[in-house]
Amino acid sequence: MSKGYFYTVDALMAITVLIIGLYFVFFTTSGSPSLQVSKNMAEDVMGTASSTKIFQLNDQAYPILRALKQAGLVPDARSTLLQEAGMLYTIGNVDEATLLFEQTIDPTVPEQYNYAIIINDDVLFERSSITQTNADSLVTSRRVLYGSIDKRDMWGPLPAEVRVWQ
Amino acid sequence: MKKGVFYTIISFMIVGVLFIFYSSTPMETEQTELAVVQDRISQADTFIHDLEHDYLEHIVRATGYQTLYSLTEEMKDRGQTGFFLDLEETFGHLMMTGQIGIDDIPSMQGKTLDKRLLDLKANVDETLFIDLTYKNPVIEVYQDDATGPWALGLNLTLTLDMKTEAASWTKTLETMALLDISGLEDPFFNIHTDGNVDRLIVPTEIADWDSEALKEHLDAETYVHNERAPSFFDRLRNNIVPSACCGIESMISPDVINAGIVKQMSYVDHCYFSELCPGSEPGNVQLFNVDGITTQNFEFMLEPYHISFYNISNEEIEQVIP
Repeated sequence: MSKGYFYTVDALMAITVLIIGLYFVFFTTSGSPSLQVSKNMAEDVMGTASSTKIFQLNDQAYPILRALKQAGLVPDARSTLLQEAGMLYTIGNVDEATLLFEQTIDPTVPEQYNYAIIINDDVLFERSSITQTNADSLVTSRRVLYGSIDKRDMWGPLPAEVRVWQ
Repeated sequence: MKKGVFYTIISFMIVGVLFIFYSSTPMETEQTELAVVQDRISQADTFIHDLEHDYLEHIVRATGYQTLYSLTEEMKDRGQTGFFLDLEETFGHLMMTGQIGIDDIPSMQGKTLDKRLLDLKANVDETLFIDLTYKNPVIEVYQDDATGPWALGLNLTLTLDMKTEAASWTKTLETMALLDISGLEDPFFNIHTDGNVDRLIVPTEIADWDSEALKEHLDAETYVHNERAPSFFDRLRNNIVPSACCGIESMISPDVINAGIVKQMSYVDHCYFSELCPGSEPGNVQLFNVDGITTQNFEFMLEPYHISFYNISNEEIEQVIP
């Protein structure tokens, strides 16, 4: 066999390998792994905050819940953590809303993630080692928040957002 | 030059072109755009679930209570002409628009169903990029076996159209809320006493009746379920008919007499105000004073049906001679 054919076959094999490699890289993943992980984390934080109800949590483990109940600031124990925070935000008790997230949500988020919980464009809780502007990637998860203050009055709707960045 | 080198150069050029093609930005952009669209559809799905299972019920319950409050206040203001025979229609219109007829009701401003749905529309448009519209709202208010005597049932049916840039939904949603009437004012009392006596609906906890329990019930101004009394819903219409599921009644207290509303009639509220008592012919109601309750200043009387209902013994009653 002449050298020309040898090189040609070699090149074709190399191309085949490259095409297969490129196929796996571009068509079998939906994005870079870090972005996907951040997205999952944002959804998880939002999911936890918007599905965990106050009555499901033990007061003894969360001093802020005990304080809120004693102060009459839990009108409905069936409210989720996010709804309770939204209600506190609406009536001006922002510090209590921040403490609520700090004691209930924050311990569930691994330390390597930078994230913030935002209601109505106000950052209620943030934990970060780099700023959002210096991040390589930033993903968000959003919900619309609402709830009842008493039998006749409602608060909201308010936009709620969890941002995760790396 | 050897042919092999020529082929190798061509191969490198092909590989180079492939690299440039696959690593070009448009593909990343398309993937990013696809992910964004997927996220928005996913968030819209979550919103629809929340709307269907939680949010609409909150809206219906809060707006229903506000409507009931506004309606009873309006009835009190209107006095004897304040009863609404077309209660369902009036309630639905007031809840939706904040109006009775063409009159704006101030306490409903900013709290109507329409306003709350429009607030929601503005918010989801800005937050979730969903264009939300609603149509064909139908409101039903009722009392039946399912609600029992101490609650009103409120049903809302409406069709929602939701559009995002990549998908659209049309759903007809049905939402039901129970409005607890405990603590609400009973306009039946206020209107029939010309605005002199207000009474809140407080269900009694008494289960075993006798004259002492009746005295306690009278003093506490509480209500009891009686299947031959009108329901709260009927009281709002001044429709004195028995309601097996939901009838409630209270006693005429001294403040009604002190307000100058004095009648020779059974002191059960619906009997007293309508002069129609269960088991008695209109205009021919036998009346009895009750020992321990009737006094010189407060001529408490009951007719035979309620003497039996409240378990008052024959030794404790004395017939009133007209």
